Amino acid sequence: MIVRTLIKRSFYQDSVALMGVARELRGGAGIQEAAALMGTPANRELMEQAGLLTAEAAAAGPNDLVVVVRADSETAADRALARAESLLTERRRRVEAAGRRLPRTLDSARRQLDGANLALISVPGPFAAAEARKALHRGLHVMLFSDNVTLEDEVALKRLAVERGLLLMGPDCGTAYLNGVPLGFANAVPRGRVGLVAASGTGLQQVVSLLAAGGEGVSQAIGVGGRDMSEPVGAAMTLAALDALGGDPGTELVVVVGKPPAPTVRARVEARLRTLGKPVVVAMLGRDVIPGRDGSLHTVTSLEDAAAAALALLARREHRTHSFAGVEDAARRIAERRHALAAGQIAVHGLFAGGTLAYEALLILEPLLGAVGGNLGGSVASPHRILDLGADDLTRGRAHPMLDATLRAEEIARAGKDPDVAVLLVDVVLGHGAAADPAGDIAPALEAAQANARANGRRLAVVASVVGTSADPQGLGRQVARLESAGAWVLASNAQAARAAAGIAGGPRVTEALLGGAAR
Amino acid sequence: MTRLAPCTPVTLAARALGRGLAQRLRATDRRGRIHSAFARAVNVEWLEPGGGLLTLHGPSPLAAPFAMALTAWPDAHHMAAWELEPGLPVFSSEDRLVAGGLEVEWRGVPVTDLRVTPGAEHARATRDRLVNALASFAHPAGAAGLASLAGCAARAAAARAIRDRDSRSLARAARSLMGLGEGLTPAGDDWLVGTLAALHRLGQHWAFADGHLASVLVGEATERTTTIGAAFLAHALAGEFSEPARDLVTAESLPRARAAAARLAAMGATSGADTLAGMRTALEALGAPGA
Amino acid sequence: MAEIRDLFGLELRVVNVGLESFAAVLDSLGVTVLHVQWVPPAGGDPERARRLALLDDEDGT
Repeated sequence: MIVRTLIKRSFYQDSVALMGVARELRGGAGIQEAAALMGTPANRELMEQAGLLTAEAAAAGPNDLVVVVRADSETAADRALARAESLLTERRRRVEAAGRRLPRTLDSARRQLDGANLALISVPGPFAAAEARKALHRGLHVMLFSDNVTLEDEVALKRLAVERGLLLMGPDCGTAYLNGVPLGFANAVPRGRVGLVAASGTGLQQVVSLLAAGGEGVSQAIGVGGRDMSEPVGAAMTLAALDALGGDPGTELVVVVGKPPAPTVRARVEARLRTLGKPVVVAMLGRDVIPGRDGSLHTVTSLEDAAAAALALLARREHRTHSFAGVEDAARRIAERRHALAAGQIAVHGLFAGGTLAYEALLILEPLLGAVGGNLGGSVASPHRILDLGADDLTRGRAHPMLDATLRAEEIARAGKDPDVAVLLVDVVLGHGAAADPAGDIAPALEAAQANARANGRRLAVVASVVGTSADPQGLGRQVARLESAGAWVLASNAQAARAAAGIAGGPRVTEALLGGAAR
Repeated sequence: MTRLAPCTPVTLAARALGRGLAQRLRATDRRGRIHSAFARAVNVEWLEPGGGLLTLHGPSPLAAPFAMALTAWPDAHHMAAWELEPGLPVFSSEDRLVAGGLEVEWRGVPVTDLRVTPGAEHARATRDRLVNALASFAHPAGAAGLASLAGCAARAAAARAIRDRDSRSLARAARSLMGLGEGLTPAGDDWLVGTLAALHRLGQHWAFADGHLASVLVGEATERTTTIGAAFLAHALAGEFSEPARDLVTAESLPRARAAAARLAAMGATSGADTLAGMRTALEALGAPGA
Repeated sequence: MAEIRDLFGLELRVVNVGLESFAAVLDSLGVTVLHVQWVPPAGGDPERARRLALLDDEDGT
């Protein structure tokens, strides 16, 4: 029985690294016991109890790292300590190597990174498919952020992925959560019991942020790309994801977020949902969706309701839909803002960074206000407008609105000068990868637009929602406060914000419809 | 060893820091050195005796009472290029800091009050809410030190001491927990920080008035625990905590407390969980009749 | 037979091909990630790149 020590004086490695070292040493061949602890008196006593207190360990100080192994043989002990040494310096080396000798291909990356299991691909579209194919062939799961991948390539890639039992999230997948890791543009949310399959990035962000606000978290959130449920792709990744979540003990409930599937695909998807053996909340937003419960399937018509239904189901509570979180308060605020409008101010202008958020707003506004124009394919002949500022033709040659507020600020200014506009409706999306201060980026434009309106005898109402959590880098509370100080009425969800906008612009009858239909 | 050519020095803005830290930084110019540098954070040790630590990290909640959150954080490439390496000098003057090729401006940054003091409501209501919020978090945390025989005995002794409102016994138990267990901040230190947060929030002056805890947690810190652990304990004794711990213990509603507990639990490898466990023990022990 | 579910519970080890900011975020969260300094293969011609990739398939890897 051999006991050997490695002391690293005044050596600081973070706890994750230290625990990893200890764990790995203990698993080594011929190793009976191992410890990697700071040399404090309390830890020296622990080592003594475990028969690991060598003379060197006893002489160590609280800021020294003590690595001790008890092994069957000299060789095993030597090997273990050499391994410890390399693990402890690996992190430092990785930081240096990252700046010096970065791999230039997927293959050389795999040689440097043992056990790589996910490729996150965001190269330009024409090349993305080839990179994704390479990754799948090498047994990596793939998150394909790139758009501009052909439908034909998508079908082939997903067939390959399904054959190999791998994920192909995308194309155009901007958000996912795997094993608690937020990927792409994602909010900081806790780990929890809800599994999600999403054909939409900001849709997923809205749902998980509201789940987090309700104290729940995400087990896995798999992005499938916006075209997965079309006929040619046949929901290939959706079905595979549902199978995975169905068999995952960490997932107690599944939420599906997207648009209604192609008719030929619908039956297959629904059948899989029903046989999952877990409750399913279906938030496939479209014009003819009827909410309600059918066995284990709960269909909702908004992202907010998806989160609320999930929370209720997990808490074994009944789920009720509400127009607003605080109905009386909302009614009062709507009335205040409506009374302040000048004659002729009748329109809602929505300026969105999130495509699905824009679409959800459209679906809410249409039945209340009539036709709505903008770039989502609605009617042109309408004073109301919803613009998805992240749409392809608007982002050519410029950064996406989640990162850069220039285009949105311009549109806000334009709305401020337009005498028809009663309400400006905006979304602010937080999370990793998004701008450092999205609220601060549009606040000056919002203030200026309101001032401009006031100077011309009008009042411009600004209604907003913030998709995010307090754990996000930008901080939900801070972002809400910033918007409020710029004169915005900030509601808890995109759906509520859209309803508030409709109430302000649409008049008393609309408000009655909203508040009267509070509990369905 | 070839070094990367340094990048152009960059100025980053801070976005938050604790009030205590702001006061200490403004009081006098300081010199220090980088104590340790990790992917997500850099620790700076001030050179004057008892100078304490400063932690710099990215735009997330303040991870320590002595932390300053920046609006952005260098990626791995720049960490090396800006020479944020242990031993290199750091200067602090008025509202700016210089560390290697990194300058940090914190003029005008809103300071966050990280102190935990008794709330306006009755202590019982606070306690009940927190106990409720923490109910779903397991005893004890993952680290082996706390689960050892010595660790279990010390935690039980701490619980008894709190139940009996006996500061001398609490100090003795704290001595056994300081420096115990895995981690750069040993698990026992995190556990103690949790108990101190609960004691401060529930106005348990008996624990602090006679100085027994201070003489152990501060007086004996240098020989019993790591520099970082000692810094957390000193601040906790004085009632200053990280943002997640402060958020939890000052949460004014059950849903907020639960959400804050989940956030704290996710901190570090087991650091947050250890803090929660200590908090929970103190709260349960305070429920027993005594004062 | 390998399944998607096999990934659940494993430590993610990510190869990032494309936008460096994704790797930076993951690294700052303590996730193991290696960034690839990607350059367009085949001299920047997507059609050639696609044909090369198909050759890759035929290796049967």
